[in-house]
Amino acid sequence: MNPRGMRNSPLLLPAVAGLALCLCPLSAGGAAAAESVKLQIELSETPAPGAAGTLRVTGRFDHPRFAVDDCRQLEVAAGGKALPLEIESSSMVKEFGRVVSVRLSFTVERAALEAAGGGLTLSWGPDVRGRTTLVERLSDEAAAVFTWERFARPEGGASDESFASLEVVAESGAEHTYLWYLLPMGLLLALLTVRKFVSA
Amino acid sequence: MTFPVEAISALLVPLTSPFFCLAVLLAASIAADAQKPRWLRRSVLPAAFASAWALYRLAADAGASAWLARLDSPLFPALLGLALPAMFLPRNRWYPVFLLAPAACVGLAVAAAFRAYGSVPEGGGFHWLLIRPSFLVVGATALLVLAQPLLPLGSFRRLVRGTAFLVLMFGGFMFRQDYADYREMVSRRTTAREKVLVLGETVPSMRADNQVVHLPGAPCRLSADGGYVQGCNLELWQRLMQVDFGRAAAGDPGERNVLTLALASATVFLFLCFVGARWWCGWICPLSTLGGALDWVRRRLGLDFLKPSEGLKTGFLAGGLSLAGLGLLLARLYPGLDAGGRVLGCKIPVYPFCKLCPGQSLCPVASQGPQAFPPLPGMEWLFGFFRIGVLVLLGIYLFSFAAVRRLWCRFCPMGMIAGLFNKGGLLRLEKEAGKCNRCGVCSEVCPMDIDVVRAELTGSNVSSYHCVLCLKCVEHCPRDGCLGLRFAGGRVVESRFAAGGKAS
Repeated sequence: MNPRGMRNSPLLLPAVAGLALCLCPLSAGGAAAAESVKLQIELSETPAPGAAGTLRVTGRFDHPRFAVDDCRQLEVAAGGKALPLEIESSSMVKEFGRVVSVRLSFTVERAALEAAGGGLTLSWGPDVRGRTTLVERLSDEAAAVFTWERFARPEGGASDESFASLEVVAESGAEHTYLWYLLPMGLLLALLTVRKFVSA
Repeated sequence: MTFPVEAISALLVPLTSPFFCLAVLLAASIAADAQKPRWLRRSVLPAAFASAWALYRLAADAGASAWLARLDSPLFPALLGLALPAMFLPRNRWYPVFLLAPAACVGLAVAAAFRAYGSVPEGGGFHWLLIRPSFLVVGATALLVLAQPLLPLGSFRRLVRGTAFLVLMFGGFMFRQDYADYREMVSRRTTAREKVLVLGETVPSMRADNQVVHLPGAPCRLSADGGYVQGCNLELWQRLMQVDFGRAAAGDPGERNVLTLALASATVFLFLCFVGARWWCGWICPLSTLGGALDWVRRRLGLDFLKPSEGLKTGFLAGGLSLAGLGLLLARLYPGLDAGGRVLGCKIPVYPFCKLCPGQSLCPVASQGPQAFPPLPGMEWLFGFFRIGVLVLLGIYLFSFAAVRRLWCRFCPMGMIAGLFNKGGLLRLEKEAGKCNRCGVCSEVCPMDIDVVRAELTGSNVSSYHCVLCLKCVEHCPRDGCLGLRFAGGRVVESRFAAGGKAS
């Protein structure tokens, strides 16, 4: 566990999380791996105090080597136990007939997460059979204020891949706070306009 | 031992905020205005300093800490604590006392680097410079502040451009935070797969916590192993256009997260434009530095350059706007991708404008050589061209850059946005018309072929939309005090031909 400058907020809601597996935009290349691939997702930050209960994790997964024939060949596990996974059917992106990107969502108990040493494992490949449910649209019960940056790396050390950064957003006011950035932007543009007139 | 560090950090954290920086800079512009009452000039700076600090703390304590934190950057304390005093303090016998501060910053940065070396195991091998981004930014600024009194304006500009080029193009692998970070980077770099673009690692190391700072320049995020910032701001606008606003409105956390980061970065970008306008183009942008190097080669070869007519300049501007508009429009189609990754039966690049930008061809090749690109077209076409294509394109760019001075600066959408701040921002190029002898050297040396400075005979503000504030006109002006640059109300440099163009 390695705190990375996260600031805790009193607005923190423990039961809500959003995930974005934002990978560097590399294509799959030689991604047609015949064997299963596992990624150990390591927590790199300490969960905020008071964040207890259930975490709902939602986001897009598009790792450079990720390519499966069927979206059910993807599994998320905590401590070796597969978690029920929801995949948004309309979100699937296919390259040459193989699924290379999906939006997914799963729920994990914090206790299970901690029992697993804080690690989640993402596996895919022809031998994997995840507990997957295809849904038309993922539930959007998330609220939003802290971000966990985490990194996924293949098991067994050195990687020839880009690292996945897994951002969990859990903030009670996120539905509004991003709009607040429009305020300083508007202020700067107003200031610029006024000063343009003054300098003219 | 932990407590004082945390307490000091909490005390200093407002200094990393653009809001604090803006308040101080605006107050400085009032303090520098001789027409304002003396009591106001004396009190405004400490008042702004105290109130901005208190407001930041209040806002942070009221639950806005994460919101504020996304805007933080070590650029701001470097600007406020080092660059601003260096620009404003009188150059008298006490100035060397101030130089103790940048000297101390350099010492701290060196000490931090030595400390990082302590974690390197025996036989760890070569690993460039291990230093945290904040120490690097502050240390580099301090070095420039120390060097400035010793150098003429032209040499100082070259030093700044060289430093920025080094950090922005090669910082991704030359300056890593610690040894583990360096080894991770090397493992990615040395095990790249054949036929796949080796551009994956783009750690935005301007901040330690993966937040993003988009400079108003063109340090392409696709530089191998990461430029020192994550991308130019046009990438940011394209990313913003890709947001599925429907999902964001419905509460999708992923889309909202992207929207939040993009808007936060856009806020910092606008702030940096307000502070520096197109100075970033003239002094920081790596593309313009490479263009300047090609210009130098052309001059050495004794070749003439092509001077575009006014009509052609307008055409360049219209072309740049059209390309940017097209790129953003294509990016907007991104949420409509079908299951096959197509819109209306066509594939679209992830960052459409980047396909045309020379930065995406030039930055990776400059930082890693042609092998940064795969030899043949493959699935990765979305993210870059194949090697031969890149080299051909690069050849065209290099020839164009050499033939027409700052050609890309006339197309560059980032410059077009920053140019809006050339008038009304904190920087102002000014002229004392009474001292001008109409020699026209300002027009001759201007890489953007701007004639406003020469032609202005009455007004003092000679800032113009296309000016990149390289200050070559100030450097070469033969009349002392005729041309100068004003920042936040204070004249920070002026023509000193008699002193060999030495920055004042």
